[in-house]
Amino acid sequence: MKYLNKTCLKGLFLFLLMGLLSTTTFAQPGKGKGKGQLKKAEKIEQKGMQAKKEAKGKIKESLDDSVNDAEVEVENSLEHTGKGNGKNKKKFGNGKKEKSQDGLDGKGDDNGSDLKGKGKENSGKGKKVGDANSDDEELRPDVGKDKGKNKEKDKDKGTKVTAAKSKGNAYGKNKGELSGKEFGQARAAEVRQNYEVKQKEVKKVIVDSDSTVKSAKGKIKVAKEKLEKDKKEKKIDEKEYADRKRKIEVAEGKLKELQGKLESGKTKINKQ
Amino acid sequence: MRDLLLLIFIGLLFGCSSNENKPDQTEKIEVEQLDSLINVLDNTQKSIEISKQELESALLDLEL
Repeated sequence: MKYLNKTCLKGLFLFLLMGLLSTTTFAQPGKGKGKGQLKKAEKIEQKGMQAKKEAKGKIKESLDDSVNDAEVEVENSLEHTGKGNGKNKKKFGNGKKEKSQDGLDGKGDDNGSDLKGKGKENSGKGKKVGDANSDDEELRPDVGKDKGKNKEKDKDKGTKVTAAKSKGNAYGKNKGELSGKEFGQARAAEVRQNYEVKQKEVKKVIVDSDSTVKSAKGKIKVAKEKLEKDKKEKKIDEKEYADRKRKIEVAEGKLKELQGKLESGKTKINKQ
Repeated sequence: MRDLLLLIFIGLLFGCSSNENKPDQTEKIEVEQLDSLINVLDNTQKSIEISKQELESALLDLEL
């Protein structure tokens, strides 16, 4: 019985070990194929992301701490003074609410301003919290006057922040029901399609611009001839002549610029 | 001994199958390259369109 148990345990351990080893070794097909640079870049990127997350976490923690401190102090001061209870609590609640709306960028906007008048300690704390973002200074003067407006502003801010967050490159984060490989294939197919569409668009723009260049050349030629003719027939004075000539030169400059860009665009498309 | 070898074999199979679901590295690289190419084409398109508009406005000045 003992022997059986031992072998079972050994077997289980080996099974798990082999599974783990094979996963880690096969998970890096890029190694040894000249893809070290890419790996390095990815590592650096990951490190950057980690540092960013840590920084965000720290900021959030410090904000939470200061908000909690401010809350405790407000409660204490309310108990001591025994005035303005409902109003203050309400205001403070708003500040908290806004913070939760802002998410990681939570500023506790109203904390600083609302607490300002309720004692030096509170105002100091509030400022600390508020200083996390310079936008607070814009909001501060209006806090007492139109609180509703600020609420709306902050709500908009919150939505903007969440929208901005959702816009980021969340490759592979929302895979839905797809597995990693399937998601990768789907994304690759999507990108290939996008690339083809973009290529077609650029080709069309180049063709359109080519026709514009041709017509522009004709127009500039006609304008030059007309200018010289008008000058010979003394229909125009020197000033008007110089003015029109300058305009023609500007148009020629723009024409050359467009031609250069078209050439580079064509070479880029041909290379790809 | 035979049991152990069998377990090792099964473990390897398990590891390989769990690896199958991971996205292909070459595919990832291809996507990144295509993304950057799309960006290049996008910038080219925008700059051409801007130059075209500038030229058209310069031509309008000439005709006036």
